[in-house]
Amino acid sequence: MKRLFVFGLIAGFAGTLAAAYWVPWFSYTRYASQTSVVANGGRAEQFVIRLPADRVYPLDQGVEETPESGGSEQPHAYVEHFKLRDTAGNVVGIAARHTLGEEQPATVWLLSIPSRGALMLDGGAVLPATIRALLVQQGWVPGEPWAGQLTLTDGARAESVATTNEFDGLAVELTETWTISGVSPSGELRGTIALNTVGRRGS
Amino acid sequence: MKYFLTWFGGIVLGVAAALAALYYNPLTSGGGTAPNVASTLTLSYGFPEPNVLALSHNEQLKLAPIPEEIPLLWESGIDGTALSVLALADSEGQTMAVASRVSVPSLRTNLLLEGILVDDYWLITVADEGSLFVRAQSNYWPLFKETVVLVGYLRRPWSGPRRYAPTAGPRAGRFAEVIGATGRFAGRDGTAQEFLTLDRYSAAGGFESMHGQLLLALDEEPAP
Repeated sequence: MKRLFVFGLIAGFAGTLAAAYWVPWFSYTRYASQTSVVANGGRAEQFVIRLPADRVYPLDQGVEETPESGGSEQPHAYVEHFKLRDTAGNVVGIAARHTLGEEQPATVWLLSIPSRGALMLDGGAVLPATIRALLVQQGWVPGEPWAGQLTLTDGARAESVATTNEFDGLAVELTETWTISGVSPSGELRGTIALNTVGRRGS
Repeated sequence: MKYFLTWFGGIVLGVAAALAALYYNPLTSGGGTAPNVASTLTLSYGFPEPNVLALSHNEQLKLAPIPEEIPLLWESGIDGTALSVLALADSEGQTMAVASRVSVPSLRTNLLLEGILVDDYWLITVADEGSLFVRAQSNYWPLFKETVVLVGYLRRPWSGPRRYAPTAGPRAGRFAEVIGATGRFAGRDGTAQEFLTLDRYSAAGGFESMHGQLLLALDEEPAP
């Protein structure tokens, strides 16, 4: 009887500690990476942001907004946050983009994909002023809805300054391509932002 | 039946002893709460007021989303992740930076040796100066056990304010890693530590008032 009690005691103690160590407390759905091999080495992968559905904050950011965030008390930085999808349409992560300065804007991206790691990138981006100007060229009148097809990209590539977990050790380049299919009367964009990345090992 | 009850009593006592050991486990209780970094930049925020511009998660956290209509992060690929956008203030309380913070509960979490680990990725833009990243691994077990466990589950009164130092890595010595990106931070690295002071917590209201401080120690600016 005493042995049985001690056995139960040890089993309960050890089992709980084993669970504390071995139980996976968190898990994320790991979708298959939609990658392809590029000719001169490395792997290419595209992530997609659907507008306006994937915009997280600010919610009311439209093409008519000025490139500032948070009102007069906040730094004059243009900050945006999106849900990030793979090319199959699955939400795989969160993207944050900060742009500072207007004449020679500097843009940085943070892409966090919980099941895979994070990418921190520094480099060029498509700017709202550029989008506005091109839309006006295409016949968009501010305050009115617009429908059409506008594709724009910035030649400058963003380059990774840090990577984690699955991306660790990769030098990643990113280019943005915006495909705009419409603008609402409030200036909200409809379309997609494609983030094309190429990762190379060990540079 | 008698044998079963004896065995079961042993199990219950064993589990209780293990839970007590986990609660008081020094391996997961974090380090001291005094800064051991010579800060070159100190950024502060009040949580949730007045510095949280946005907060979104999957509603498992006992925190109201800010603003109310912000899309929640419910999809299975990002479930458990929290996004906060903070207006960070300098030591005089003047807003000087905006930060996007993505907090991802870490797959390395284990309650025996590490604690509740969260990968915190900060993207901070300082007005007129530039942007930098902070990559931190934070251990929220000390905060969790004194709030959610003690006040939430065991219904003990909150005995705060309490100070916490959640930063647990990834740099040795419990430092986060700073990676400069643009402006005057370009090409500069460094370390960081975060400190939290929880002023008020209640079982009903959750985290009612908290102050955070992020201390950054950056390498010297490269010569022009």
